[in-house]
Amino acid sequence: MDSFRPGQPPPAPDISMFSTPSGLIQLLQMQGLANLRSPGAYLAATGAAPARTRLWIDKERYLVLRRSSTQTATKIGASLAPPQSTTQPLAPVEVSLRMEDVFSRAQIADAVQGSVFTFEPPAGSREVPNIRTPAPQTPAGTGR
Amino acid sequence: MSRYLKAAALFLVMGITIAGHGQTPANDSELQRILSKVRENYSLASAWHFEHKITVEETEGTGSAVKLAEVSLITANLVAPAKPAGVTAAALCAERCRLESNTTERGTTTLVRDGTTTWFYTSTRGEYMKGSTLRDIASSVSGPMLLAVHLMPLENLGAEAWTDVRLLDDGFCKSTERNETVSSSKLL
Repeated sequence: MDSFRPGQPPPAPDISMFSTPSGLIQLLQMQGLANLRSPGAYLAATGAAPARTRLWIDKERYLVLRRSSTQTATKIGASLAPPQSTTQPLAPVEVSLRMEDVFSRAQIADAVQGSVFTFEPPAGSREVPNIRTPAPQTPAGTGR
Repeated sequence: MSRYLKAAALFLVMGITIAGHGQTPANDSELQRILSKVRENYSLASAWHFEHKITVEETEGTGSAVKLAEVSLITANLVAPAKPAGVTAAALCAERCRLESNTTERGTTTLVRDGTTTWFYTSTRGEYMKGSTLRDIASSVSGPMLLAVHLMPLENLGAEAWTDVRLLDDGFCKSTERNETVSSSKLL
């Protein structure tokens, strides 16, 4: 169900909870961008140190070129350990998460090329109705 | 073609806590100057174009690392004239944008808004939707989540999210145009 009100902009997401590796993997899972075949829920481990992040910053342009984060987290769900492991499925397991984010392009302001904002459907692709296309009306008396 | 982004780099290390529970960053004038410049860059940007690859790995006990995700992202945006600038959710895709993600298993999804039309293309299905706004091609759940994937790596530069910030070292790193690992001659 779409909770938008007509004329209202979509709600701005609060993404602060995704700033840690455990939050990020949850976000990627929800978007179908994770590799997990046995997805688990990752939470910041109770009492553990906060995630540590290292940034590489271009000191001429002051842009982040690389970000590396590590975090001790608790995973709730299927273990990724080998089958011979004695780890019980679904038992909370403490894991170490590491996230690397490497930028191959970082441009702001005038350096941005307008051509990046164009799109041509690839050959062979087909258009499907968008989510706001009205459903076909059933003529009165023909429905059940 | 590879175009080098040669850059002398500064290495910062910090602890990130959930926003609202942070402490005052280290009182180092050079560090504060650098952070201020970085924050200013991202908070005042009227246009941006980032391409990057995110990898997340999990290690359980003494086992070997297991890759949980590897996704390449293209995030480009042009803020509408007279609208507030900055890398924010409100500015993203309000005027022109390109949000692209690619994984080995899920192929490429591309969302482009050219100012009048918004497109959403999925390579695995070879299908696309188009409409006037983001709301025409994404629901109230999937739309904000998609924006979050593209915004998260570019946000959280605010001081309130950081504790124990330290300037580690000057160094040198370079990267090629796409999907190449940034290397540094002086990693700590």
